Amino acid sequence: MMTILEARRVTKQYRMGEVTVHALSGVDFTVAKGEFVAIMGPSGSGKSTLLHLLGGLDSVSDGEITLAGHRLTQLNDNQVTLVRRRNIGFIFQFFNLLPMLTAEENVALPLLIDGQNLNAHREHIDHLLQLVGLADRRHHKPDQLSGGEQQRVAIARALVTNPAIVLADEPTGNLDSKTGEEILRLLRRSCDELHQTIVMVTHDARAASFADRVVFLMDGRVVGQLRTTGDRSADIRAIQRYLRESEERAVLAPEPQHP
Amino acid sequence: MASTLSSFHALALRNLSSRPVRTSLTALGIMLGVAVVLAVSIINDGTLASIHHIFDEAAGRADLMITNSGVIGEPFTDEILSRIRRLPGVQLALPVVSGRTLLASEADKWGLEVSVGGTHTANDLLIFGIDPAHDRQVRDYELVAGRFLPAEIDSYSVLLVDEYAEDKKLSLGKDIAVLSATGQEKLRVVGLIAKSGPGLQNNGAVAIMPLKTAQSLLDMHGELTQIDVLANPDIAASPRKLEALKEDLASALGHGYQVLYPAARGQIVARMLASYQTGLSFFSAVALFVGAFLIYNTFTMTIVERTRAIGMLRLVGATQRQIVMLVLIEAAVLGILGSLAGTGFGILLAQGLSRSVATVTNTEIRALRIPLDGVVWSLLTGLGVTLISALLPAWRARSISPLEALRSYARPLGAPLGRTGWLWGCLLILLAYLALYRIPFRPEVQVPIGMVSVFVLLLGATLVVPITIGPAERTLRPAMRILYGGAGQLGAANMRRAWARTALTVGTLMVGIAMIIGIQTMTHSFELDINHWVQTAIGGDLYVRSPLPMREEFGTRLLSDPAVAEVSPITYQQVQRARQGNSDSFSNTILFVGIDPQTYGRIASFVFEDSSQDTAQALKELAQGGRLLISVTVADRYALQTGDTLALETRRGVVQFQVVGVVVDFSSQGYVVTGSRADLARYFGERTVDQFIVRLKPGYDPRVEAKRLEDHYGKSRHIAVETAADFRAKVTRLAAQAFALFDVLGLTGVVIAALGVVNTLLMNVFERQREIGGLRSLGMTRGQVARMILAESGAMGIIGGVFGMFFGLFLARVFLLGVQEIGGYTVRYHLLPQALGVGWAIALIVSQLAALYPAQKAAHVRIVEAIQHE
Ligand SMILES: Nc1ncnc2c1ncn2[C@@H]1O[C@H](COP(=O)(O)OP(=O)(O)OP(=O)(O)O)[C@@H](O)[C@H]1O
Ligand SMILES: [Mg+2]
Repeated sequence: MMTILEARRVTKQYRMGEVTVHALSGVDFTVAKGEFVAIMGPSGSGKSTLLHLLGGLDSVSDGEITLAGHRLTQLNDNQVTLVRRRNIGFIFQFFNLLPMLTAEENVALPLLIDGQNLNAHREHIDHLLQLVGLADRRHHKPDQLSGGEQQRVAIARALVTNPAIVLADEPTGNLDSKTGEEILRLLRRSCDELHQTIVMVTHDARAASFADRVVFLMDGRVVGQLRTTGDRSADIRAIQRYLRESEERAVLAPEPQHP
Repeated sequence: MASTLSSFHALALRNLSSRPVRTSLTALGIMLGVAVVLAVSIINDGTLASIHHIFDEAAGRADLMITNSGVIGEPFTDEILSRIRRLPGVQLALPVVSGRTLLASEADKWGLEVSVGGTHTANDLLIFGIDPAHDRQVRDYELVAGRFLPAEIDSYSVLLVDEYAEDKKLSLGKDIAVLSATGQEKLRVVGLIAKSGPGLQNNGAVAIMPLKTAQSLLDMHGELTQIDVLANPDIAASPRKLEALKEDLASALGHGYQVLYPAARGQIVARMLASYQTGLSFFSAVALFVGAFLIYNTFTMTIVERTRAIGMLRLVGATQRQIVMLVLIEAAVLGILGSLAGTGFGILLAQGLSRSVATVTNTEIRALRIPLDGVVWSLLTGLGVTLISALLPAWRARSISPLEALRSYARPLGAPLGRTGWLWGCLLILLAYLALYRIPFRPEVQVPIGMVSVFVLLLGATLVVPITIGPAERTLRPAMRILYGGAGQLGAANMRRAWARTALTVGTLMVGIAMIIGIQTMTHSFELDINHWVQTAIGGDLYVRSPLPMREEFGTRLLSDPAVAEVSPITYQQVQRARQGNSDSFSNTILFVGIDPQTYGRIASFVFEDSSQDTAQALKELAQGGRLLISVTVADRYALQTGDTLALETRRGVVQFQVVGVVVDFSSQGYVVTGSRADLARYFGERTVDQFIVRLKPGYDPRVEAKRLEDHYGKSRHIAVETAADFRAKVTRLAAQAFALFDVLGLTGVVIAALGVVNTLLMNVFERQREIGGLRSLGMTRGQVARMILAESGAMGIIGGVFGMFFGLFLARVFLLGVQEIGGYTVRYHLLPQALGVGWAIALIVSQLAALYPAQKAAHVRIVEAIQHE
């Protein structure tokens, strides 16, 4: 199996005046090509921070990140931006669409930014809009779309460059459970049909059960992982059990020490 | 918007079209700035072109021109003509004598007009005496009817311009009567010419006649005012040889004459108006500077508002360079739109303003030419200023992190230059202050330095504004609560939360208010000085003048009139300051006002710069001879003070006059010295009287007496009597007219600033839609939301007003510097407390009016949308 993403001993500290917040403390994390990985953990455990670092949105305090052969931690802003543009697709809880662009234009935006001729990609864009079920709403502006529809636009946008990896931070956090299910199914499909690599942050066990593998984070460290079986309800139960147990461990364990 | 985007950069257009109000307001601001600059340049070009055209045409094909070395138009002896003709290289030397008279039928309608170039008569007729046999070799007379003058040099025949003849109902073949030194003379109209060539002079009011006839009409026997020289063709064809001939002529004629290229005459007159034109350009440049600052503000604001969107673009892979390009393309599109509209509007504005400029400068502006280079230049200026103003905001946009897109609330942009920004601001303000008040720069550089310090000051103030907002908000909060209720308090607090945004709005208001206060203070200072001078120095009740020289004895006759209490004669003479180095002749021409020290003090007095000096003492000094009072402007320009000496060219060579005082005097652009008439006679040979000032006995009505005296003496002596009140009114009116133009420019600045305020407030609302929706969902009523926005804007108005007041005082200083250095007038700085109050009130009113639309927009934010979407 080919590794597409590798994080080694990644740490991240935020200095807030006198106080230093240790958001991540030596995280090791790898993702294989075509794999769908979920990251779970309690609030404040560093999930979003990790995702931001993996996507080159922020710089590490220490450690190394390699994505699709690029050493992100050694590139300058411009180089990281180009890697992000061509190799990473993002999906967030708030859909982050440009309000003055139509659904279709929002989907095409990364290609525009890359200076590509849109006509060459017309079919591809049509295909994606069909995939996310928005072919008939392509000319709508974001404020004319529902939350679920906006998120589907965001997914199509994330996929439009055929990125090496899609990073999603609680993509269903802002949606009702039915719409959430649809979105997750969409991600699952893009993994199965398009062999899309996906890393998704969530704290919902149902959402995590759509992944191939679940990584658990706690206080800025990877504390364990679980491989799903494909039996959704069994997987959900396994994830919930794992979370419950680790919570109990955390209550019993002493405060984590930082070097 | 059915069409899809074709490229990333088309996103800039989408940004603009998705915010039509903001886009139009910004473009409107650019448009106004460009329009003003273009209008001023078109008008200035038009005025200059008109002047040059008139003199070029009148000079005809002459290669060189000889005039009196002192002042062009002063007579000299015709004996030199033969000397010139003998000089090798001279093909032809043509004598010209010119002077002014009136049609006898119009003698009673004669009056004095005042303009920026000085005083001139309203309906005078220019006598242009020529050699009929040869003059047509140099000048083209375009005959429309009749024939040219007969060849003899002393026939009583005349050519008139057809337009003038028609206007005055004079016809071919009939006689016209004009005033002469001895009474009236009749001349036969033998031909009518078109208003071209020599017919262009004096706006067509010109009587072309044989030389001898003109000399006798003007009582200038054996005198000429100008000789036109035609050089041999080979010399005329070579600039180098012509220059050599010019020098030969100059050395052959010696002291007392000057040899000029014909174009120089137009240039000298043009330079008289240059100061006024530079004044206009200065103010239009200030308007543009202010415009640039506001564009900068608007763009910074756009960046603040779009932080999330820009973060998102970075997130999906836009590079920093692409973001900078996006902002700059937006600026370029706005700049092009605004400049195009501004060019159109500027042409209209030029047409609208040209009439008033023509009155002020007393130059008939021929059809306004729309100069292609001017249009191109103004387009480039508009575009350039917009791009430069957008550079800094674009640079700030560059540093927006992609993570900004992920925050649920946009983080307000930090203050420029970070925490130490205000220190830099203070430093800049200090620098500007020193440049304006403390460091004595040379006059030539003072204006540019003044302009730059305006910009430096603006920048400094914007940097300082942010740190004042916290304390100001705490101080204002209770007041806002009282005025606008609980929502008001929230509004005031908003101001502090987004201080970068607030600082920009406050900065915009500050600029607008400063413009108002600056212009008002300048106008007020000027008016105070002029009025004081008009009231004091233009003393007496009546002025008795004549287009023909008057004798001193006439004063005695006036004095014997039962209504007259005092009479004092005055003589005006243009004199030259002795040449120093290579300074040009214009800035050395001074008006010598000759007064009679015995009688002057009984009617009028001087306005001294040093208030401890008094008129009686000064008159005593002047009576001793060889002494002068100089104007503040002369003192300033030549760096003179009481006790120094001023060297003047006189008939007896260079004479050193002692300066015994500095007085305020606005006549003749401020280039005025006052001395005794005895000195004028002794050193300049001038004994006639130009004007008598008359004080009436108590109980006599000046208006009635003016009419009576004019009727009594008018017929025989061609005198005109004007009341001092009328003359003062004329001077004041001219000043008001001149300032009206400056006011137009100032007002443009204020309008641009108001546009800026509406713009920033609107952006405030757009940026906060979500938040406002949130507040509405918590139960805030529409009225409360509107009051919140109004309170926020009101508080910013108060702070902006305070800053505007301080900055306005600076600006007034720069304006006065501008008036002084380019206009020639030295004006004392008078603080106008009302202007401060008015400025502040306007800040409040503008802040509330400008907030109305945004408040209404905010009140109607749709709650659901605002909280559901970005
Ligand atoms: N910009 C920042 N400055 C300071 N501290 C930060 C910053 N961003 C995150 N943190 C801190 O880092 C830690 C990890 O935050 P992170 O957002 O990664 O948590 P999370 O696992 O995504 O939590 P949640 O499930 O609530 O989203 C937290 O303690 C948070 O307070
Ligand atoms: Mg998170």
